[in-house]
Amino acid sequence: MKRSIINFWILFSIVSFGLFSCKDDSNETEEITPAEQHFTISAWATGSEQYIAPVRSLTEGKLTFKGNGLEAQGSRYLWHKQYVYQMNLPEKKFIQYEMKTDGTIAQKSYILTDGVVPNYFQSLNVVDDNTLLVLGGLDANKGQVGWARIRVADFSVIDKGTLTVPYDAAKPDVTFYLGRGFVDNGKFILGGYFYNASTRAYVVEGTKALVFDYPAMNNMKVISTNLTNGSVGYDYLHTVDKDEEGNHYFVVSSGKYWTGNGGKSGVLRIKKGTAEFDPTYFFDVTTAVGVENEACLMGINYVGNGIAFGTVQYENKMTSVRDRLNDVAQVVKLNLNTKTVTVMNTPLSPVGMVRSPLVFNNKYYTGISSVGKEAFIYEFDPAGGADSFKKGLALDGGGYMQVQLIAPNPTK
Amino acid sequence: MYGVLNRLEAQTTDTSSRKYNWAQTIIGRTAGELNGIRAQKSEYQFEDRNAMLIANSSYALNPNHTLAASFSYNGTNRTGSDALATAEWTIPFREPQHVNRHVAALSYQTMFWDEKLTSMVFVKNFGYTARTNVYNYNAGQQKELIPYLSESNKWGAGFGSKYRINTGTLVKLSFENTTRMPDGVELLGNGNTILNAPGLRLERSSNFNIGISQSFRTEQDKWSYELGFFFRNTRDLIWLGEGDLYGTSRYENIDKLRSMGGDFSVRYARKKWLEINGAVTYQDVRNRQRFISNGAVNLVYNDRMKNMPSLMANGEVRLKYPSAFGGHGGLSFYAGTDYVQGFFLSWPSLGNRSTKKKIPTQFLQNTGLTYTMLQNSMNVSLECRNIFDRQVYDNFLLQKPGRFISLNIRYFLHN
Repeated sequence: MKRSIINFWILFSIVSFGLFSCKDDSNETEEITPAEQHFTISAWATGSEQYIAPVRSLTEGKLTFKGNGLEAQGSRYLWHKQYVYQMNLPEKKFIQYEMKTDGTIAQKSYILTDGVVPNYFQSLNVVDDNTLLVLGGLDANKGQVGWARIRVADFSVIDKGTLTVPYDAAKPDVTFYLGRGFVDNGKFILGGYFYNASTRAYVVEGTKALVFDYPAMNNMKVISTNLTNGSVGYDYLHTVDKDEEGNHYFVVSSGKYWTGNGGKSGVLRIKKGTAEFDPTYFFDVTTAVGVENEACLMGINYVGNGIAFGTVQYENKMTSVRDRLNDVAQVVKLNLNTKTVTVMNTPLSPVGMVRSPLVFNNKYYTGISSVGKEAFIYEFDPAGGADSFKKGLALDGGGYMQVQLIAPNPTK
Repeated sequence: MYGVLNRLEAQTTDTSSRKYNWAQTIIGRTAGELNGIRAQKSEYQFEDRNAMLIANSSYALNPNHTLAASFSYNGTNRTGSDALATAEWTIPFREPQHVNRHVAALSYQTMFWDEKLTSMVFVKNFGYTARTNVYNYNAGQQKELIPYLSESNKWGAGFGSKYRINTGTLVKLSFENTTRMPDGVELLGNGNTILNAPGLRLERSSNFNIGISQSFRTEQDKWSYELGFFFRNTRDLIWLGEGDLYGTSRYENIDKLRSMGGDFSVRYARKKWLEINGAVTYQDVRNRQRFISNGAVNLVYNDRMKNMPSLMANGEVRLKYPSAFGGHGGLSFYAGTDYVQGFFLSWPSLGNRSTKKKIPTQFLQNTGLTYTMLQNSMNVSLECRNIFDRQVYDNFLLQKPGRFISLNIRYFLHN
């Protein structure tokens, strides 16, 4: 026994010396050989069944959920660092999955939304490298919704509370619905939309967002612009991003079938460090794509050098919101500096693909699953023109495989 | 001829405003509980008026040939209202809905060879009309209430025959092409957790069954068994779908299935003091839809049916003491077991099997003691079910009771 204790201390000393001796030696850390790159993909497989599975490549091979993948339910995803988060709606669980260097993914933990915010985590946001900010409210929130900050490291709730959102007791049928937001310079800027339950129509008078003091999450202020009439930051699409300089870009959707009344959709900017819409900036994507298409911008991902990729839905091909399940969506390349649009020559597909595309190594990846046809992950090169894309990973199941999330596994 | 008029009134009150934890502390606000993340307060009430009529007649052409006709009608009218009128799920229920069904049948039965061979051919007509509502997108920006009228008329036919080889052996054979029409709950929902299903189609199937039963008797012992096989092709199986993202469910159609399987049951009795019986059922139900409605390849083609067990069995041993306590009563004791092999909630072939949601294998043991007295007018039963307190489920993660003991006293005023 005594010998064992002595051996233990000798071993402990050697290990400790090794750890402390290289603690501040960043060169040593960088010498760790990166593992092979893997990716994680979530998609609807059939009916209401959704799976999350790893793949070796986005540019080749085939993903099948036959005998492969974790069951999942819900449409709100977020990835940050080595984690993928999903809001499981039937179980009201906010689930943390860990992507691993060996290309696997496993559920690590979860938070039950009851008692944290009302209803469920509707708005999922990364506010800094170590913190998530989630918001949730009842459908009839009467101007009160909940928020909670979550520590990434141990996936625990740091603090929570309620915040005020617009509500007019004289117009009780008009409700503000939470969208996505971001934190900059001590402010939390939140998108969302107004909906009138009695007229069953979106309420759009210009474009509005909410600003709160952060981290206090109080002192609400409504900011607005009249550059277009629509709603910004829809909650489960990728509707807000920022450029190299830290300027923020909100997708404003003005479609008659999507958070607007058939106006001009596009991109609004909030400059770094400010809490107002940039009065000089509106990128009118609807007009640039061709007014006859009635294109409504649904989401964007910023790639770099002013280039973003996004998806529009052609509302001239739609007769109701249901038609978003038909081939009405098109990938577009947006130059946020010159405000020009390149309509990519990729096939049309349902709009579902827009939920969480990926920008990785200066390329843009999204799933295109045309109805009744083969489905693939496509890779887009921002340097090229309308044909600068290639088919990549095939999706077993074809047109039913609506990709929800593409995320890179860590390699270290 | 037989007729029934029913009237049913029901109300679902869902007006919770607060959520509590187990310590009765308020942990949050809510607006009702039903419908998951789309919950809104509701005081939904509905009234079903149901009329049922059954008429049978037969005519013996001669001792061995009989012609029979039957007609059945079942009509349900539902009206509903919601005083709070906010919950979206109640919107389709507030407008009148109805479902009317009828089955008319004509059969011809023959008996030959001293009634050893009995055969029947029949033809049926199935009529169905339903008026329902759906709250969905139509041709506008937002959801709206859309009336939905369904009408259908199908024909079916079949043949059945049984042949008694000797006093202890019977062989049966049947074939039927039939239709099953949605009933009230399937089409109109239950008023809370099951939503209406306006697009529900009639279930059609071709069924083939063959079976044999035999019994053997000695002075003290009696054996019997029954063995049957079935083959079934089903289109548009009517099926309660799993809960959706909002925590409610509705009946849906599974396009094309093929089922094969068999049942085997055996019974043994010795004098009047011992009975042993057991039964096992195996079914192989598979999805045979190659392409889904949008033309894509069906990923789960030839997959076993989700959320459905393949193997089930039960058995029981019963000991009887007919003249216990000096002949004043009868005492019986039984020990039994039930077995259901585990199965997956979703399509078995999709996803990693080690992490899939599964209804686990259930293997239960039960026992009981019954005392009968006063010339069978009264009996007292003490029963223990799930003796070993195993975790069992009625549906996915919907727990059934663990071990429980019950005392049942029954008395017949007239026996």
